[in-house]
Amino acid sequence: MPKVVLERVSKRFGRITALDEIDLTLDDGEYSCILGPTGSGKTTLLKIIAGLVEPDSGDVYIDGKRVTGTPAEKRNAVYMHQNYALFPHLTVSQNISFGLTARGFEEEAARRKASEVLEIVKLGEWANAYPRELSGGMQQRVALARCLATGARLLLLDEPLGALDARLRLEVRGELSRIAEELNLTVIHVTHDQSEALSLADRLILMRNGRIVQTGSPEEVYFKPNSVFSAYFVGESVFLEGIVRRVDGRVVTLELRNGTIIEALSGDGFNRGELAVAAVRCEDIKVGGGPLTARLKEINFLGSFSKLVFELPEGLKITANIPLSRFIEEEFRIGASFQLSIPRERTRLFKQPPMGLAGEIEAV
Amino acid sequence: MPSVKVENVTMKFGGFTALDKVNINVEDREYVSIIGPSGCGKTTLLRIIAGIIGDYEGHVYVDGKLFDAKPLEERGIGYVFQNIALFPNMSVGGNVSYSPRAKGLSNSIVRTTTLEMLELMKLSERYHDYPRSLSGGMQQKTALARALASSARLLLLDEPLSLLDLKVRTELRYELRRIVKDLGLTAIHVTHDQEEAMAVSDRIIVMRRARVVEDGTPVDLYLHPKKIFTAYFLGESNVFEGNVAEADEDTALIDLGGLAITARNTGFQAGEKVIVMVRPELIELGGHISGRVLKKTLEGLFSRLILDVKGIRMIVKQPYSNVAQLGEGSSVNIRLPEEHVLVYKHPGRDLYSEISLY
Amino acid sequence: MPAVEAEKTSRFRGIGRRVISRLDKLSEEKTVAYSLYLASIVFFLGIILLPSLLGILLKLDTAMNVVTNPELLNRSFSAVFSSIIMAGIVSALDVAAGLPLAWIIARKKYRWLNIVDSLVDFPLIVPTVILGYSTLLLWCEETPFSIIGFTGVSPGFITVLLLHFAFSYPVVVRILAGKLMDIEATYEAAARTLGACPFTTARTITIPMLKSGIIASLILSFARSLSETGATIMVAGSFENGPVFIKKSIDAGLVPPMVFVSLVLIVLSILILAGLRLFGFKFRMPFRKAYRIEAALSREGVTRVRDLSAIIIFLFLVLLPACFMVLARMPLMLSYGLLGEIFTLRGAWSTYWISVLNSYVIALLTTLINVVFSLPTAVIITRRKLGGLVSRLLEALSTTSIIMPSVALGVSLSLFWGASGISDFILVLLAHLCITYPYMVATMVSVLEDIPVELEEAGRTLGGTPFKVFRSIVLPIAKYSFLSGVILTFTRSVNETGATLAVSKTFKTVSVLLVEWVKSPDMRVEAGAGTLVLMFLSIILLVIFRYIYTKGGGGLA
Repeated sequence: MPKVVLERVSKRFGRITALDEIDLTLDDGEYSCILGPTGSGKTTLLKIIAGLVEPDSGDVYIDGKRVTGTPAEKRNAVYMHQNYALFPHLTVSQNISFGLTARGFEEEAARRKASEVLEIVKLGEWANAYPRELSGGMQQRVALARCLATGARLLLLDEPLGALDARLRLEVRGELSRIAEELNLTVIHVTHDQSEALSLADRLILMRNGRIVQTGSPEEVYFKPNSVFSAYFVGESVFLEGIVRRVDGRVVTLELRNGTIIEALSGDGFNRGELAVAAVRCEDIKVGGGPLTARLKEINFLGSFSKLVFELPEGLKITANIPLSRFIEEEFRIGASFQLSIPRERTRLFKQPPMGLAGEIEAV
Repeated sequence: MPSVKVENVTMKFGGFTALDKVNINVEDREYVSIIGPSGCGKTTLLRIIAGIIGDYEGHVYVDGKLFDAKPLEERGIGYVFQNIALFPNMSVGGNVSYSPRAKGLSNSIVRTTTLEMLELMKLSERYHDYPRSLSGGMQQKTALARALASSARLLLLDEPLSLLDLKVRTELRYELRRIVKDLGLTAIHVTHDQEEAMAVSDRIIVMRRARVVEDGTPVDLYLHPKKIFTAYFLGESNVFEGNVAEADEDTALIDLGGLAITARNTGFQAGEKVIVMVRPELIELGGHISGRVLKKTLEGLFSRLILDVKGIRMIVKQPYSNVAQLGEGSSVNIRLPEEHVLVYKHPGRDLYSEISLY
Repeated sequence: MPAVEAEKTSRFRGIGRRVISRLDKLSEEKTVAYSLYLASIVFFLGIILLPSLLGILLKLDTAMNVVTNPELLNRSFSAVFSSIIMAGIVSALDVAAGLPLAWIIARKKYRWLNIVDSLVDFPLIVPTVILGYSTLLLWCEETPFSIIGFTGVSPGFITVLLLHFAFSYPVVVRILAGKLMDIEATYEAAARTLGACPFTTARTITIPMLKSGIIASLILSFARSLSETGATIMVAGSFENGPVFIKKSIDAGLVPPMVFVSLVLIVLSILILAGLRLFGFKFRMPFRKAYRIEAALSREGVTRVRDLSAIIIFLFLVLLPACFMVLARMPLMLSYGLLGEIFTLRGAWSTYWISVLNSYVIALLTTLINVVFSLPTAVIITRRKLGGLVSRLLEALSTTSIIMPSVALGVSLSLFWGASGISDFILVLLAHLCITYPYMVATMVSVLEDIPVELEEAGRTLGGTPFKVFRSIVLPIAKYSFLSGVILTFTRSVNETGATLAVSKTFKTVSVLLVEWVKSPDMRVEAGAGTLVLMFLSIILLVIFRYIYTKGGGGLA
């Protein structure tokens, strides 16, 4: 059964360290998402599992068998490229049977199996079309079908939804998880889209600069981020820098640079006078009723929820996300004054990062 | 001041009709997005306004003046490309100063404009760097600075953020809107990302299959779409086919096949075939309709439940804390508030062809 | 009966399948792949690179004879000087005149462009010696054109210039048009929306982005002008550049001038080309301002005149010379009744047909051997199979032999292999291998570079062995451009004269024979007829080439 283990895998490209001693275990039948910004090493990791890139050091095991050095075609793991890499000179059906004939199927049997798989992805009528005649969404399904047809139980997907329109992406997301579940596949899916990772993954692996930052179920990573970066990259958070003023058991009191006092619960040992960063999910900020007085600066309507940008004294900005129902019920006027509260049980406290807060959360 | 009027524009590429008698109006200083699935003609429309594509039927007016025959370089338009298209043979400074130079402005003006724009985009330190050494986000900011340095009052944005990482994309879109509003520009922004469109624009134009479907403010289009396609394309939605079982002045009882729901009546008769749309996040917990949880996933602010309600598949979105105790197989009671159930005339054809993204 | 046949074919298929699956298996072994790479590198070093240089280097001591002889030294230097000047002028003119036509082909959309597009390839297919003879006829003999300017001008500098311009022009246009098509249209649109008129856009955006193509064109036309021998001799008259001088001294039985001039030419041209590569890529023209005149030059009337003159230059200076020979000799040939005689296989014509056969056998072998060995080399270069350094080194070295004067290459080869006493036939074959190898490798490299690596990766991870991926994905996608490379190599071999003349005494290819005929006064009409036949054969090749080329266009769309 396809269980994937990586032991101290490292890879350098010239002076750039793409992967730095990665240890990872993925269970059979699990849907894992590797999440991270561009250049975090996630694609390299996937290609190493596929056998398309050889690690400089470390080992890869699939099903308990050491496969380091085994060529890609013998790994029984199939890799799907971001831009699908469909063979332009072959029809849909020929594309799909490629992996079958390569595995020694007779032509006839391969064709039969290909049409079976085409039914799974609902493209039966397109068997004789060429890839260029298909829309982006259909090409994506052909690429998927081509992987499924090989019968490989380990599916390695590199940004499989990245080339699709935003709306189509939502539709295909559902398809993907349905197919993976029905065929009981082990899937490793690379993406930079945190909502995609949250909604698809059994296990989420967050990467940055060639290292794994955090792994766990989506709930674990979302509700218990282990670092400022993790809280920043998964979901939306407000980050508040301040000085620890008081530590009372698990309750830590933080004074922000504009003098505002907030509280957070933390198990870590914080000391008085230390710099710290508090992270709160934008949807956990209570609008209406609370000790903080803030002025509403901006309303960004995003459909299912809206972002309200509030300004505290001295220009400190806090963004609160409110669901659509609240937006409909209540009238929010720009310039109006609101009372906010930051619930301490939902606030996570982190040590001041060595490169400063901006170094951890600067996207552009 | 630039207002834009597109009148009856039709564009054909060989046998393929990219635009079919399209009319749009953009007011001065308005930020308008054009959204639609790929192939709907939105980029073609933008390129026609810019003058990159000629040979169309119909007319384009900018600021009341007929633009059809005006050469590209005399239109005074800032265009931002999806593939960014920074000149690889020039530094950031060279790129940004390109337009003032090409317009023959004096050296001192070229210099001050360039520095000003770089300052605005917080790129001053990158003056001497070449595009390939910049991250995708910075490249697109440079491209924006380059377009703004042309002192254009009309900005055309062709999927400007779609090649960037999600996190970068969400940050840049607010910056984009801020700059357009601060400088008092008119902007037309083409995108396939509905959330981006809602975040940046004053008004959204929805296109599909070479035609304009409808237009309106983000709130109007999201809450009260006139067309079922808009409802489907803009955000997630539950779309059902049904029959009006009973109807009086105020309310209509609609039979979805095994499940009957109440909606505000907007002039439907009993027996009529209709389409019903409900936003997943407006379905409430704790009503009389019972269903079973098929799947539950976390999406951030919301948890997304897929329910089986008497054989009907329904998506419900609720804040995590409300549904924390629910798991796959749990039963749950829901309510569809009648004011949020939108009813549309049935198009006659099958529903799928009405909402499909192709 | 049919059943037996079916069984037979199925048996053959079975054998074929077994062979293929055996190869599939073999290709999984890394040692097999690496021995293939090793063989191709050994071939390159042992057959192509070393012999073409060592022959000269072995006779290095004789070069002193030239240095100590002032008269010879003087003539040598003036020949080298003429070569470099000629090559410089030709490559500059090629780019200057080729760019507008390439622009029209790449950017405009007229129906008649298709015709121009196919005509551009025509001179490539016409043997260079024929082009030379044609040039001579057109500009210096009994035609209306000779009245225009060249009456009384003895064949010389200008005729060589016209000849070199004509034969390198098509390649330059092809390279530039190809590169222009690769530049995304959005860059130009971006510059235009930013307020630049078309001329300014071209000057500041397109041409700088086209730099690699321009440099490649300059290098190629420079090298071609430097090395071409056969046709140059034909039209040179009193003009003497390196190859002409080498040929004259070889004919006079003198080897030292050849060694000396070749060495000086090789060293100088390596310096010039390296300098061009080095400084050409660093050279930037900063954009200071847009000039008024640029807007004027962008006006439609002006651009029309420009386009028209580009096409006129192509028609009169390239296309007309390419086919003039046959046009001019046609009436004479008909009146002599030569056309009937050609197929009688009597006297001179039997020699002719044997030489045609010789040419085609050599060309076929050259192409086959080059395909077998340059394909793995191209794989090593593009896929970095042996590391980046080996790739770059191999790519640079593989182009060395194109800058050698072809006659010098031939002499070097015969000096190198001469001692071993191998036959003329093998020597000619070796010479043709050396001359076509760089083109073949360059074609293969560009073909392989165009195929996204993802496709190969996808094939591998779907379970295909390296050989299966190569034969079922890489080859089918590349086959059209691959075949056009093959045909180019083939025609290049048929047309070769300089090196062939140098290595072979008894074995004659058709190009060599035609040179001889053209030179002897009483065979001129026969030369015309022979050319006509050869051109017919070439046109058939051209048609095949065009067919494949247009088909190839749709291959990866």
